[in-house]
Amino acid sequence: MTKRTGTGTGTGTREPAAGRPVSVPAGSGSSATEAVPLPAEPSGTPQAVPPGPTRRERGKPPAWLLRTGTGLLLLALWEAAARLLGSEFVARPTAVAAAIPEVLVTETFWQDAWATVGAVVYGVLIGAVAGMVLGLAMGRIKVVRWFFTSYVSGLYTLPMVAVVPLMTIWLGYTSETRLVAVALSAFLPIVVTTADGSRAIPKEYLDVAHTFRARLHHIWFGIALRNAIPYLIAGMQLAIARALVTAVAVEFLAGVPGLGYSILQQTRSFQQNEAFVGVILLTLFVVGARALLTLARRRFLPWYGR
Amino acid sequence: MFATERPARWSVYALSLVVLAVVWQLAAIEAGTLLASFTETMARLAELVSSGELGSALWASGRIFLTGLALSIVLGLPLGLVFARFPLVTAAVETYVYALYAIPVITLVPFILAGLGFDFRAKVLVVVLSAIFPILISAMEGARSVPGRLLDVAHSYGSRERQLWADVVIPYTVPYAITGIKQGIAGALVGTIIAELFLNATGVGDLLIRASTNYDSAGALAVTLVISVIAVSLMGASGAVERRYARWREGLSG
Repeated sequence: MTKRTGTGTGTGTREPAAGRPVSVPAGSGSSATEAVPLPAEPSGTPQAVPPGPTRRERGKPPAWLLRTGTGLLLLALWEAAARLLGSEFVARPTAVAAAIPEVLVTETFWQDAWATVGAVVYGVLIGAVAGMVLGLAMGRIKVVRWFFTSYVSGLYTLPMVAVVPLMTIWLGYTSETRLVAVALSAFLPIVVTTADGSRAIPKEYLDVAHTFRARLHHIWFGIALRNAIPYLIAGMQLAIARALVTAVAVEFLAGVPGLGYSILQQTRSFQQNEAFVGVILLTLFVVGARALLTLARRRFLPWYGR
Repeated sequence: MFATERPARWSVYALSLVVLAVVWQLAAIEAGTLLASFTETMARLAELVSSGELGSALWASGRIFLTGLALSIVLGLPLGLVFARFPLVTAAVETYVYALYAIPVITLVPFILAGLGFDFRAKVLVVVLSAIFPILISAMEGARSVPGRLLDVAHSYGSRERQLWADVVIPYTVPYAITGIKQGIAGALVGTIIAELFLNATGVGDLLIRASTNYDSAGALAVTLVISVIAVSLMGASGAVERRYARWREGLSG
């Protein structure tokens, strides 16, 4: 099984484990989940050798110092570039920092933030439930897999932003449109990863299950679904980022109130610094939500590795 | 087993397409003007093709896509290699690479619009921002996971840094780079659509926005369908290349 781990954590050099069914992913090669590394499988395969030469250890400044220094340098460069370009049109770090406290006390900021983030959270939950059902069915039943493969992989590959104009035709310029679009863009990666996960069951598990005459529901919910949970989590991590892009796209295009729309409004009225606070909040939301999911996996499924 | 499965699989594929066409047609009759039927959509597609509208839109958007992707590859790969090969640089920049990657590019579009306008360069910038990070990060991961064993052997045989790069680091990174480029293509597609819709609407973005505001669901469906076909073929092709080189990677790691 050559599960690509995307920008993974050095698990790219795994060998196919013996006895595990080699599976072509359901979405015809779409299993390489973009930014989210799939968790390492619970096997004893050795991890990649630590990188780099070891002969330069001496006299090395500590990593935190380097990191802080680079951060300050980047901020200084940004500040200088912004001042050079004309500060009215460009957000700059000092002004953004100054804007943070006043933006955080405005009520509309939190209303907008909740509108967008809430839509993403609800959408991802809807997408996760629906995606899990279809993914499990696609992973376990061949006919279902064959039937839906072309649609799922076609829609999974299509940038959802391109579907937003169609959705505004069908559903109008409302916040329901945002929820539907968000749920759809969350649904697709979750279907793909859950299908992979419920399909890539180690053969020994199934053999044991058959030996003990396990019923179908035991195999489905006892083995397949459990095997799919780490994949589901990886799918949700991917879904959150995609869903947020879709939510902001609907807000831009349909003028639905939310943080994306307020960013657009503020940049139009030369409040670049205030608007950038919104970008920071949305970025923190994506990072935080993904970290929370990783944490949950480590806590509840520690055998799936880091 | 596989020989007997194949006809069944293909007939299910065919069935799924037939079901789509039928459901689509029935839903269109039910929905009226909101949803164009399959036949109407195809007719509109033929119209867009023959009038040359679709061709010129695809060319306009394709230029942005290709320029942005090419820039991302040319900048991303060497940067990734350099970042990874020098531990001090890695320690300094890694956090920021991931932090920048985490920013949803679409939220930066209003800033780009206000600061740089909506010309070709601004649009290419959106594409680069969407595509460069997966490429850069994959190159970094690749160069960092070169087994110490290989480096040791090269050192033992007296490799200089330049030879080390040419014979070990770069070849070892190729499969990772290909994976990164594949993800970069996916990112560039999204970036192109975002740029074409939300900086001023040109190319396919213009077609989509016009169809949407005119409630021309046949036009919107036709364009979306074309984008989908392009996306699937691009990802299919790059997936095939990726699988070829993935085999190479497995061979090396042994």
